[in-house]
Amino acid sequence: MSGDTDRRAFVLGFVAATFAAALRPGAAEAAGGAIKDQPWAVWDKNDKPVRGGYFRVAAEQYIGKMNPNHWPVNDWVSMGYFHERLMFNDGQYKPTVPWLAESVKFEDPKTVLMRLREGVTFHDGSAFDAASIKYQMEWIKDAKNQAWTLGMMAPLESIEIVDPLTLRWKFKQPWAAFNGVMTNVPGYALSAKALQADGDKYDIDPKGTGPYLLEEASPGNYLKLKRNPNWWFAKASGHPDMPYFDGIHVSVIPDPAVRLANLRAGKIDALTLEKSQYAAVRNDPNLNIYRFPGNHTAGLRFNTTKGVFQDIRLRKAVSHAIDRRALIAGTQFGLARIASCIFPGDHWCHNPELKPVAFDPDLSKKLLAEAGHANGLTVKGYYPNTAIGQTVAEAVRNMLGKVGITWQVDLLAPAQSATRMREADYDLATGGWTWVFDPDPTATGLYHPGGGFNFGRSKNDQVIALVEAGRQEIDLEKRKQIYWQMEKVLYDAYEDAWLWWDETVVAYRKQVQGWKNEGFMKYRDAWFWAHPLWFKDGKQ
Amino acid sequence: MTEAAPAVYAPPASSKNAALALLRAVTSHRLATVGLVIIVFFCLMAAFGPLVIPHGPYEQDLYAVLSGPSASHWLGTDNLGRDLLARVVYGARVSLLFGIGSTALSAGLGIVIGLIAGFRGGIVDAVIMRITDAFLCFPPLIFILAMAAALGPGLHNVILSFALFGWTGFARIIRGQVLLVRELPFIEAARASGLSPARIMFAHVLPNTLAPIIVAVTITIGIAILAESGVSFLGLGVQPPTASWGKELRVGFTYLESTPLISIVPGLMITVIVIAFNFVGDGLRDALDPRLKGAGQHRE
Amino acid sequence: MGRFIGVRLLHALVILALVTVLVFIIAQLMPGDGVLAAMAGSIDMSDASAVERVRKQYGLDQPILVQFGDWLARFVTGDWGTSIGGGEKVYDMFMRRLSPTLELFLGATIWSIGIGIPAGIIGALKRNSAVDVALTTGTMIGVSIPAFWEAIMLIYLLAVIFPILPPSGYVPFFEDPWLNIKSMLLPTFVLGTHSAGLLARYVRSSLLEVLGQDYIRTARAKGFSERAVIVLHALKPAMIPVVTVIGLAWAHMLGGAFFVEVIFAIPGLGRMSVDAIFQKDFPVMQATLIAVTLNVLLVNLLVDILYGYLDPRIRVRR
Repeated sequence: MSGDTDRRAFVLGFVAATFAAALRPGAAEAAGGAIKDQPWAVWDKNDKPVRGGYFRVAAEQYIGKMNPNHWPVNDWVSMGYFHERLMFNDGQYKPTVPWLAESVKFEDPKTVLMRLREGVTFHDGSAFDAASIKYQMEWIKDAKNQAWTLGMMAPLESIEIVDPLTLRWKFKQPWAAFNGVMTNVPGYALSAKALQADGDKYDIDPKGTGPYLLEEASPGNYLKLKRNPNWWFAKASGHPDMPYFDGIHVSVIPDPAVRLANLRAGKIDALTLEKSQYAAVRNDPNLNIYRFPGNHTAGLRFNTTKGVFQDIRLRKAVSHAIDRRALIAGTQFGLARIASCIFPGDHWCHNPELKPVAFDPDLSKKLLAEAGHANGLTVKGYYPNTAIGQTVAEAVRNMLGKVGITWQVDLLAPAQSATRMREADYDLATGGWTWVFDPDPTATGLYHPGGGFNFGRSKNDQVIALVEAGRQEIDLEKRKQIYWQMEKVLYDAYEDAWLWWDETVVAYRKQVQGWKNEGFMKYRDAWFWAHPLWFKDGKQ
Repeated sequence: MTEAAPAVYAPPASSKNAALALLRAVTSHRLATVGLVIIVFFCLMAAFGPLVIPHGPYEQDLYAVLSGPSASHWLGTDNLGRDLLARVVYGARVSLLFGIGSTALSAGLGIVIGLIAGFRGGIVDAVIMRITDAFLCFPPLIFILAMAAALGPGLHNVILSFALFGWTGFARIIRGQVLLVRELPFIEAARASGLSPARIMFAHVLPNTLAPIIVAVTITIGIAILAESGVSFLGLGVQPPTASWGKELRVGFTYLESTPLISIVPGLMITVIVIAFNFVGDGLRDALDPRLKGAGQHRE
Repeated sequence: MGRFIGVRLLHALVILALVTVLVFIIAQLMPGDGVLAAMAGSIDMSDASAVERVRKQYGLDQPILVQFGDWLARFVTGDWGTSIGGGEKVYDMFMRRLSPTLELFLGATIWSIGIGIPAGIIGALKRNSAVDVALTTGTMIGVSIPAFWEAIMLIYLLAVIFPILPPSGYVPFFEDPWLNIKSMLLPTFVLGTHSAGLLARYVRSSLLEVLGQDYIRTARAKGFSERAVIVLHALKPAMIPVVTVIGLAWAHMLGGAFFVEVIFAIPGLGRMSVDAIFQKDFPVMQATLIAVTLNVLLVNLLVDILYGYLDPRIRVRR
């Protein structure tokens, strides 16, 4: 495959997809309203939050640049402590929650009227208002500022200031994905004053609107944040003491075993656990452990256009040879649900009628023989070389071996995986998807010729037609049906072998109060930022 | 690998005597004997262990992962429910073969290059020595990691990466020895009698320079085994489903809290065998280095 | 002496050039680049033009020779470039990570000397006794144990089960000296014990060699007490190889430092250089490896000068 032509095709394909997404209607549900009217704005009267203490967490990598529009950013969790977005996704992963924007209304498919919240200030004291958002968006669109998010704002034609807190956005063509973009990186509100003064300095000295502001940064080592006493949400929600922590200390600890050691030693207060650590930690009397669906589907992908997996019987053979229940039991310690298709089970675009592929090794052997490989089949591919990746790859390899399929799997680092994927140099490789919000990026990325993760390995005409239809459909119910049908087509075609829908496990020291797992599962982002945690008695 | 070469060892009467002398050298030294016994034990374990143990190293049982010792699995199971004892026993093979293989390749490369440098002298020598110096400025592990990552997954690539760095130490030693030896009378005689340089190099010079090489070889095997574990830590090295001590150690790292045996057993094995090789190397050096007997020869 | 240094400097320049080329070759061999992988892992990848934009920003769309040329041109004017993996200016990144690594090296050397020299001396004096065997075995364990395993076991023992020390992390000395020392105790120990064994062996054999010399026999014959013989006559010449070994260990320490820095979460040069290799972060790779090479060359030069100073035999010969 010639490098340059493919790269051009790749880029063009994506630009096409982006514009196509612009035509996509859908999230025209005008979000709006005061905080007190929001469904997640419900607090437990029995909670008596107390101010005090530094909340200590660990990150695998240092954040990098602190302007979200610049690359690299390696820690998006910390980014959220000092930067907030105009909109958030709700518990169904739809971009409907107004945050810094008070309301978003489509006047027509090419125009949006956005009203901003009042009383919000940036950490440098400047006002969060229409002028600063306008400046910021134009800053992103100016190529000399080297914002990697420039492409995401492509459909924007102009922004008008209607009044200090109201903006009229004008698009070049209908941009139904607009709300989605506002929940994404361009939606982070940055202080125009700081950007204007020194765009480069912003990378190390950010001025957002978030509950915490940057106190001290030690690259590669830690991030110290301190409480923002003027956080708008405190007043707007009627909880003036928010946020309750005096500050947050993010330590960079690369190794997960050492992160756990820190948690056990009481040196950090919260940790997202590796599944393997769950068993060791669940009976620790000092910790509260919570599980909730993670927005991630694990799976394997086939190269359906080159090689043996053009034959659906062989794809079926592979899929039925995998004992998903055992895989989850052994490699995920039971902390996942069997997946039937690409979209997570709790997502609105997932087709609930699909049942997971059954474990049937005899069927696999029969299909292999039918397809002319009664004496065995050898296929090649790759999988991530992380600890969990190795485990899963070995388990799957073993299962395939039992029905006569030899999977020559290479365990690769991310940079090398990317190369193999680009060259479609595999029969069976790591698949799945992380972070499904709007279904289109996932569907396009994996199954559309212009998709950023396809590179020609999947070309199912029926699926492609459905992907394109889904972008155009205005009516939400009809759109849902399109994606349900797309899943059915993928499922019947055994386009990929989906394994499980992931769960996330977090541990908090008992001293940390305020986490309500049901609330979080119901409202997600909104709940997370609206209900900050606190220490019992305000003491660490 | 990069230690100063000891002084010249007088040429032995015959190779059989040489082997016996070596053995005597080792056994006269208490720790070296212990080391030798340990190495023999591990070699036996690697060779015959698989015939003796109840389970194979590849049978997975996903419903019995990370279990502790039991009647059927004496050391418990690993993260895929495989028998840990089997993984360790089979891993011994891989680790030992890796250690010996990469050392052999390093020594082979290094000896040839060192012989050429020492024998030819002049520009060839200068160039080779500068290249050696450049390599030695590199932190060894970083070089090996980089090469292993660049060459791709698989143990053979790690062997190659190790050898691509390891040759430098051997080259240096051999070159130093050659410089000392080539002025000796019997070499002069060989040259005078018209033998080809290659013949002189391999048949006459080399046997007399072997003492420090043997010491270096034993030490290098230990270093290689450690390097294998280091490389496995980063996910390079053996590919599934092969077992090696380094790989098991890495896996055990993740499950330290729940199933410490997975890392303790391979970790101990690696430590013990590397100590053993170090002891043997020490013993050989002590025995072969005439200076300790008060010979009073100066270092070069 | 001047001519000696001059020749060495010339050698150093040649070596430096060779190392730069070596790094360039390795960088070229590494497959792919980290940008697609990194972006795909962390952001919503609906816009692939973003990847291209970032690659262009860092010059990754150029052929590798052009990248190398650009880098070299800027490097000699003092602009070390920007890190692709972390976004920092490479110069700042390097300077910031220099002191933790230096502290690590220094601490390791202290442990190494503190354990290695006494062990070697006692081992030589009580040659072949039980004490000698115990000391040799003990120091050899440090040399033979995989560093990252030793590290995590020590963390669990001394930070989790018996919470005496912090499990990981780094605080600059001038910010909190006591916490800094406590945090660096384990990492420097792990790194130091790795060379302590080698040092002990060298000291032991060197002392044994010196004790076998004629002039020592003369001193004994003259009636000096055994202790006087050792302390006044044997120790100093026996210490000469210590300089070499420490120089050698210092030169090779970066590799071991990597594991220690990763496990103990110390933001140092070891971690920085290995991360750079895996992320194919070319400016960082070059900067670190050149600096490391310079370090090794300098240390070797110093060792040789010191050696010539300490060992009269060599000085006379020159």
